[in-house]
Amino acid sequence: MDAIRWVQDLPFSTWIRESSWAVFTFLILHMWGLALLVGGSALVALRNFGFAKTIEPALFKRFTPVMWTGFVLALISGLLLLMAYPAKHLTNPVFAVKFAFLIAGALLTRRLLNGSGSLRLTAAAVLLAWAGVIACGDLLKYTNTVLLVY
Amino acid sequence: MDIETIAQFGHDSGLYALLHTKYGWPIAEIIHFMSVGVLFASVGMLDLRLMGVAKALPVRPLARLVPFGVAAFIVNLATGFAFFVNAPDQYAYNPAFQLKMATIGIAGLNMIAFYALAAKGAHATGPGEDAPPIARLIAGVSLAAWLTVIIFGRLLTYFRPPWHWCAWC
Repeated sequence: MDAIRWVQDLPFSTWIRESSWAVFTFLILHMWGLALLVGGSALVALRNFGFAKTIEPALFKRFTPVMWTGFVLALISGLLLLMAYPAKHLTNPVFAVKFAFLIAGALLTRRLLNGSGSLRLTAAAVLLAWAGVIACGDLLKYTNTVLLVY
Repeated sequence: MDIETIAQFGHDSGLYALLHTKYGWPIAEIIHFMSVGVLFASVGMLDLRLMGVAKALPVRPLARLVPFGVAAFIVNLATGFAFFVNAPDQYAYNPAFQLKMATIGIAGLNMIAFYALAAKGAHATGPGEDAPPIARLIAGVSLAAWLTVIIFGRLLTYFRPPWHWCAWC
């Protein structure tokens, strides 16, 4: 808890909370990250369900930079929001579940990109993982119990 | 149709009650955001390909995925409609919402322009080939429009009536 207080009381964290534009700007970047990362990954999943099947699955690796861009955008904006409100998120089990889904989504997407043929089950698991990330991310707004700062 | 009538419809249709159940609002939001992901999976990634990203992929098979984007947009429209009738004054008088709708309108007109002027040449773009300039332009407008829709979608929850903050309020 001391570490959490130290982070939230940093001048930069305080600035994020008090700035008139920082929080919504980071949330916009977070949603852009979602669009590029989940968008790219869901496209790969669709290919593995048998759509656009005239395209070799391995060719979808060309969208990897798009997914990385989305991931980095979401990660940086997410870390900035976490700095502003560390207690709110780090004390919420939903936040841990979100990360479990995130790791699953990333690893399973990599498996789709490196696999061959139609990996339907893996593709379904990828979509489920992103659904979990989005659901947990949204629920963070409603399920927090500890709020040390506003 | 005035705001009162729409608000009354929100109550009479049960949409207001539905959103105000314990998990009604978050579930509607989660569906709204998942659909953003599907929209970008089809339309967004197609736009990027036409703009020159992942050029190794032929365009025609990717373009066949557009119906997924249309379906996702309809889901977004449905969840958005539920939000709107729940508190129409919070949206109708909200400049961010007005700009969001205008941007969706631009994206729609842009899509019509694509099928009228650019689809034929775009679809014929094979692996490693550049899409025709008109298709690249329209794809750029499309991607920019959808990213802007996200901006206004976020802003509309932050700058709400009755705080008037725009030139035409």
